[in-house]
Amino acid sequence: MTNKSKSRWWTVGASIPITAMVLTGCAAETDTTSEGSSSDGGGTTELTEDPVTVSVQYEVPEDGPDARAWRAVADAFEAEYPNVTVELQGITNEAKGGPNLQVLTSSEAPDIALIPLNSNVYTQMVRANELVALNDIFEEDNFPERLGPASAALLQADGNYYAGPNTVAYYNILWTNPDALADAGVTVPEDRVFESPEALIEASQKCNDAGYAGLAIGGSTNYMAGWMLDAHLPTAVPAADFNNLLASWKSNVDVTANYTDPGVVEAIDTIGRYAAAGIHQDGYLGQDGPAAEALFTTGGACLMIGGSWMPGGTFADATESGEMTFEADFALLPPVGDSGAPSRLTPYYGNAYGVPKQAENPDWGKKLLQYYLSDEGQRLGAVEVGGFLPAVTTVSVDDVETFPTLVKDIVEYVAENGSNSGWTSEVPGAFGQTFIAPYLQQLQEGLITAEEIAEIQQQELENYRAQG
Amino acid sequence: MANLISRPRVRPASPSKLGSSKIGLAAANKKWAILSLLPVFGMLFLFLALPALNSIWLSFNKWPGIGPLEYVGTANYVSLFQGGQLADSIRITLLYSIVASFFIVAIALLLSVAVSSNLKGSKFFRVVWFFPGVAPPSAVAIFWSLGFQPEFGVVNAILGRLGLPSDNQWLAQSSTVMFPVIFVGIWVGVGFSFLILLGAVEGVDVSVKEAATIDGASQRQQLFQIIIPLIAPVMFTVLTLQLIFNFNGFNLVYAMTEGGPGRSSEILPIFTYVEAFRYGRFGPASAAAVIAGIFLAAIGWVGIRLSRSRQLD
Repeated sequence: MTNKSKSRWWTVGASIPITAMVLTGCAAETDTTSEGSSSDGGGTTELTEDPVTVSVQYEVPEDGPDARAWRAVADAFEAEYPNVTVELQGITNEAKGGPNLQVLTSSEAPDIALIPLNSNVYTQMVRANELVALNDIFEEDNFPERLGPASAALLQADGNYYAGPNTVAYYNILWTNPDALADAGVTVPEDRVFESPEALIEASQKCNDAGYAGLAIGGSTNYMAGWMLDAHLPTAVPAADFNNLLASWKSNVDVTANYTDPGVVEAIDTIGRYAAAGIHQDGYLGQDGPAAEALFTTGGACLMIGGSWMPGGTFADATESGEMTFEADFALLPPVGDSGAPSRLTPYYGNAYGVPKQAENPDWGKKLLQYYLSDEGQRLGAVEVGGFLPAVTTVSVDDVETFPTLVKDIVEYVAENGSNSGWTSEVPGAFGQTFIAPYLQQLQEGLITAEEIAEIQQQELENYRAQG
Repeated sequence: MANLISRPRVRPASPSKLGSSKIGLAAANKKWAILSLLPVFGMLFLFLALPALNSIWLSFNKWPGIGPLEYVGTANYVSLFQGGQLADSIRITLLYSIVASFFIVAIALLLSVAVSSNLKGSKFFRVVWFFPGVAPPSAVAIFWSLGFQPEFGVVNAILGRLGLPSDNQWLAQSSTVMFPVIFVGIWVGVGFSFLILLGAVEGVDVSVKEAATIDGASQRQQLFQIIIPLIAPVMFTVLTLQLIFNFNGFNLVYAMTEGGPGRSSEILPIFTYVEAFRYGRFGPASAAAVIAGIFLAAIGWVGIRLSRSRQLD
């Protein structure tokens, strides 16, 4: 054997154990899905009294309302079950909709995972049967009925529930600066709904003339352009068509409405018309949500698109710091066409929680989630500490003194007028919000037409359905 | 007596035996060399070759991030090239990395020449120029994103003072978004290149410079005809490194624009990220990563060749 071949043998010989180690590691990793927890189908199991740590994901910041709400719920739960220690794990907004998938399917999966319902993470985990069914705890506490109509979207084709939202947020709210509007000579309609896109454009232009930005929007943020589409779409197409657009991405649902239908095209086109008319602040496509919020709270814009979480957060902080010197009110985007529903606010139940099958303590995870989704947990965590609107309809915020009056007004408005489902909130992000957002930005720049976007979306519908 | 204290007879080794012991020693050394290198090879295989091979394999499969792989052949590559966005991303990436890298090296060279000539305040600048390079890219991105805002940004304010158009919506238009991105890429990258080139410039023999000065060579002539040819291998190395850094410049560009407006600043790493984590298309994402890897390998190869050829010169 020559020296050259000897050294080759050394190399090969050394590679074998390494390769074996790697392959063993891979094999172990891929095998973990087969062993489901005892709570696979929903039968409750006895919880041990041994010391246990239950890990829970929440959305950062660490001192934010999500963390505070979970801490309060966790403290109450730990008091009830002294053997339990709840460990909170923060994840970012960016991670929860994408990279978190790898965590949730690994051996490091938390016992309760934050899984946005309109994210690719949720779609893929349901497809791969990687979430524990929550039917038992939902039925025990009558959760679907307490949640109301939104529960229909949670029910999967296999008859299981895999995630539950802890709050509802209303978005597509046009926050108004009454002082600026008065200064610009704009009157918000009595029913709070701008009559038509032209009326909104005219109001914004009056604001511009008076030295204010019209409708402030975080244009660089990949979801905000989609919000306006959510507001317009149900008003632009008949209800049956709209419902089909919400569900037709599933391969088992017949397609009875197309994205190339005139109503859809008009709903998309309206976003381009707003941009062409200059109703947004200068440079909005290079500004994120907080930039738009800063412009509005400092009195630089008449209107801002946002959600029900703002009065207790952004507005309260800006008022406390002295930046915001007016009391905001709210209005609604106009309807597009007259073939659909009236213009309404859009509910978002998206930030839901589920229990990954890879979790170490899935039964305790279910127990803790059940507590948070109970009326007691909702009142404590979501309402009193987090300042959120509860997901369930059985908890009222009317008597909660700390709750912002403006949010109570929104709840009252929705109770009186109802709400419209949001397309980007209900269809998977990879098909809806994430997919269409760059095209809407191009539309706002005038680089693409609404018809072209509709064609692209229709093509994507076919692609998505083909994936099963 | 002479016999008693006779020196032990040492027979000189025959040439053939000497050769075999040398060979034995060399072989033993080689074994030890291989043995000591094994952990390194193992680590390289584990953390470099294996993920790369896995990525290549993944690029021929369909995988949503979970579950088993589904072999699809070259379908991911075909769909990427048919889609058009990949070509746009490659174009944007090349524009960003080439323009930014060229200016980084050019500016770093001029700065290093200026600082090495011991001008007043050169010690101060020696430190200051490195600061942007050590700042976290996300912080730099936020800082400059504000700087490029149309109404309150410092860039438009300065342009206005100079009598130039000051209503530019830099980050909000597809046609202008790459200007601030490239500018900030240069701002961040100059410090690192400056440090390396400063070392190279200061390494040029003083006597060569003095001889040139005595011969009446101007500063410009000294720069182009003496300093640059002498530090060319280092320059090519720095240029290659900058091209690679900027080609992979995910953090800065993503934090500034998220690839927008639309997809107008979507460099290849962002394209890969979006495909994988937003759309759940890990197969096409891996294919894009493989294509990016080919570009990077080509850049590295050309850089090394140029650097070596200059060294030989």
